[in-house]
Amino acid sequence: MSPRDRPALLQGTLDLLILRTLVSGRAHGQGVARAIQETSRDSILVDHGSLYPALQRLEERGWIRAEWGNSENNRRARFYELTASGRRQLVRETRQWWALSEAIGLILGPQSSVR
Amino acid sequence: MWNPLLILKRRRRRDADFAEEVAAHLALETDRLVAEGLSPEEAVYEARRRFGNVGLAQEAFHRRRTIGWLEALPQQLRRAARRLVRAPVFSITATLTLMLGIGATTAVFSLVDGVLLRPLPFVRPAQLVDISHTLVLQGVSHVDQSDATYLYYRRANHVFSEVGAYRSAAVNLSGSGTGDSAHAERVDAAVASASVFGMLGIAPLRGRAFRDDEDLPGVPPVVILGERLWKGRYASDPRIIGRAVMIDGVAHEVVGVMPERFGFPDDRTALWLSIGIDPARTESATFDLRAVARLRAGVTPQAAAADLQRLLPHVPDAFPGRLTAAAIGLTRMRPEVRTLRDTMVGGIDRALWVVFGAAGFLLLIACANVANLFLVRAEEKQHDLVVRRALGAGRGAIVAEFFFEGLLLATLGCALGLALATAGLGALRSTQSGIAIPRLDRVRLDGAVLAVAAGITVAIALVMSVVPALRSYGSEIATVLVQSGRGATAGRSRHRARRVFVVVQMALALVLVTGAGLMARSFQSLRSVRPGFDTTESYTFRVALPDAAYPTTGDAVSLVTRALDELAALPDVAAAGVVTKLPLDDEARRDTAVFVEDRQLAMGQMPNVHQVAYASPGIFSALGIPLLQGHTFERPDPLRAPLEVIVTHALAKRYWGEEPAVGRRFQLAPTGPSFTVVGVTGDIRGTRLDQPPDETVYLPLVTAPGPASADGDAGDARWTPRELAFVVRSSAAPHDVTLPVERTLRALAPTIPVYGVRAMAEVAARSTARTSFTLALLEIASIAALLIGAVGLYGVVSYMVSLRTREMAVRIALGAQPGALRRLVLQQAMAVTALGIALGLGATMVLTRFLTALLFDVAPTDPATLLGAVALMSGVAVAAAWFPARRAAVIDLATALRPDV
Repeated sequence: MSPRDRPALLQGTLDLLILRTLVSGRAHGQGVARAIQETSRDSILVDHGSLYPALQRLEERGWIRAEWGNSENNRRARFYELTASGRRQLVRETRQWWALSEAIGLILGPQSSVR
Repeated sequence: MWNPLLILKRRRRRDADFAEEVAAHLALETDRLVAEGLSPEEAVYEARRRFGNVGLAQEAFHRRRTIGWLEALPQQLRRAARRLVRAPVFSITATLTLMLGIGATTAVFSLVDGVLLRPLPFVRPAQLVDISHTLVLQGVSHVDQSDATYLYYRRANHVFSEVGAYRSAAVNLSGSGTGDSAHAERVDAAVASASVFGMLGIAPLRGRAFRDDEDLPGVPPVVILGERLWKGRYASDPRIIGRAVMIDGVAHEVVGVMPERFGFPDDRTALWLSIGIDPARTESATFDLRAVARLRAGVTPQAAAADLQRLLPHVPDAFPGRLTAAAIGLTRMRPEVRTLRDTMVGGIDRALWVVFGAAGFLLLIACANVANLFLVRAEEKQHDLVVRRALGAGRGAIVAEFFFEGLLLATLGCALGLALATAGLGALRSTQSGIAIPRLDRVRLDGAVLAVAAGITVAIALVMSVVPALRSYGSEIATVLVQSGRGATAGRSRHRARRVFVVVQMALALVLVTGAGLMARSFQSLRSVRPGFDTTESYTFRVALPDAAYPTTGDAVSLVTRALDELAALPDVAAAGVVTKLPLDDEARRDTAVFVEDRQLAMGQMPNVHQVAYASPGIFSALGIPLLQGHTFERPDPLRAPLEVIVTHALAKRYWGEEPAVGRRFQLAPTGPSFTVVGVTGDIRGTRLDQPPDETVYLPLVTAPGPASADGDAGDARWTPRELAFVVRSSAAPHDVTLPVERTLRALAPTIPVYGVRAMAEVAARSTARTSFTLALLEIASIAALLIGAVGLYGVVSYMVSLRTREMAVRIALGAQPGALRRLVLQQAMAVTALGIALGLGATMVLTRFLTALLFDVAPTDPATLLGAVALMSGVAVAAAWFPARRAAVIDLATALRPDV
């Protein structure tokens, strides 16, 4: 897929994706970026530069917490994990996301009509 | 939901920590890329490329930690201003509402602050107290100090560091004899002991204060001038100290000038004279002095009163005289110690607090209204906001948008409100219609007031903006997107908050309207009281005849009788007279004990005390006071002091019931001469209109000295009062009365100033000034509240109608009658109003109790007033709802039903 065809990430959805990724356990920033990229089969490339401010934002809101630790290949890294309120926020945001995409789908109509 | 408290708990993370994390990321990414087969150099380069601008990320992090939005402040404000200009109706309504609320609150707060809260301008003012006595005696319940009690307390107490005595006075000030303006002037003065000046702790501007030895009588006369008098009359003469000025015809040497802020005992005091107390010749039962004292550190007023209570019985031992131990015991005389501030502020505090409460209510109503306007606005922007949120707009950005709009409006409203407050205070000061608010001159919008106004403003901005913004956040994005699409009416929950605000406004407005109604009824009752004298076509002025110019009783009396003769001869003048105390003017009040003949006092019983005044024969017809029995006095003759009195009906009734009083006799001192009643006047309410009629004894202008007159001079065979109020009854226009009258007096006595020239109607108006002042302010507050409440209801109802335009159109298309739709809308508005009124009635029942002390002849829960207020509120509500209701019924179907484009 060329960068041109890659969907631009809607602002705000990065938070949702980070929270979702952390459900499967703690991870450092680079791991999160990689995981999003791999799970989306390379459709979504996370801009590493905006990842860290997003992580910081989530941490400030108390949805994730962070701790310095050692990576599998023994490098020092800051590890993030979901908090209880982060888990609730994920549920909320997921629900909203589905409602929104459904609404947008309704407005846009069936896929065939676009072509 | 987002928890604002998290901001407070937020861990401080340093920039360095963030930089370390970024470095770790780059290392991890490089490792990974190397594992995927890139050369180490390529891997480092690629990891950096994928990260993007490291500096930018760090800056973004840094901004989040600092208050980045502050840097964007001017931009935010500019945008908010642009948005407000685009919604002029909203902006103007909100600004004017806030102006009224903030203006009223700051004006009244500055009054309360200046008059009640701010400390007195003296050194350590909290230690300053006023000492007086309470006692149980018919007619008198409170006396201040006599020279004897003052001297003894000062000498023997253990609780004060200093005690001073003073008395307000008024003197004639004339030329100094060195060629400056010789015009005579009447000025307010105070007689004060030397200790007063040291105790209050304000240094003289020039010269010195009094010395202790100047408290004694017979020392060369000295005077201290006030700064204002010095700057005015004496043109800031730098060589004023040592000059002589003529006071009551006697040369006094100026020894000092006190700064303007000294204002003791009140701001009108223009000069101070020495007190002249002779410890060897005291008048222990003449309580014509007031005492001010400074408490020693740690002594409470109660403890001080207890100490004085111990001292009081010993006063007669130290200063034998008419104040005997028996009299102290019989009257249950007790020293009372109150803070000086309380005594200086007087009884205005209740009226001020009531008005302050009303202003606070008005501010609440204004806030509720503006909050409502903001909610409506938030609703209009709902769709817009939700889309922006869906696209990731931060919560902070949206709240900030509302906050800056709120801040701009509140600031504008605050500025206008302060202008309004300044104008209001200026108007209040210039009307000076004798509202008699102490310290009014010192009231101004200063730092404290501005701080309060600024605080109110920011609080309003916060509430106004954050509440609707957060509300818009509570909703699910999808719900709103679907709802605000075509064909929907607004959800039920969205109306609730607005209705609550309208209900609150209605309830508060009802309280204000009822309060104003009660005050109006009190005022009306006061006006309908028959005072017993006729204030129309009656004019008064005062003169004081100093001993120096009129040394004998004969001189003084012959001047008065000649003046009265000439005044009576003026065209249009029907009657003229003099009296020592005018009705409704509580200065110059005097009291005397009355011993009624044939009424033996039981052992241990004290005689009754009644008001006493000296009067010329013509005074009763000049004041329009009818004589019910007998006749008035004979023409005053300096050589004759007739033992005659005229009493008021209330006094005659007390002693002789409905039997004739003429011919009855009483004494004014246990061993004094007997006076015969020659006339009885009608009832006079001369103390205050809301008090029972006066029980007054009128004595003729020339009396025997001694017990009959408190300050009689034993060396003189006859005595006459020297501070007199002339009263002239004339049918001419006010200006045509006062000018010839003044001219007459000036021709007869060029050196005697004529002062206090007023229509009697004005004297009477002054006595009800406090009630009418409170009434006026409450009326303004309640009219503003009604207006704001009406605007609020109108806004909500018309917005409800506009939201349901399509529904209404469908109803009409299906055949609904316009009348039915009108009723539907009106019904909804009335439901809100009824709830507000019900709540307001509850609040009124509780709150009007605080008005009780200000009311006259009307109960705080007067049903007629309550009913009237409810009717008025309902009427205004119907009017406010009528226009939107009518609009609902004439919706243009074609426009309303056209699909959204």
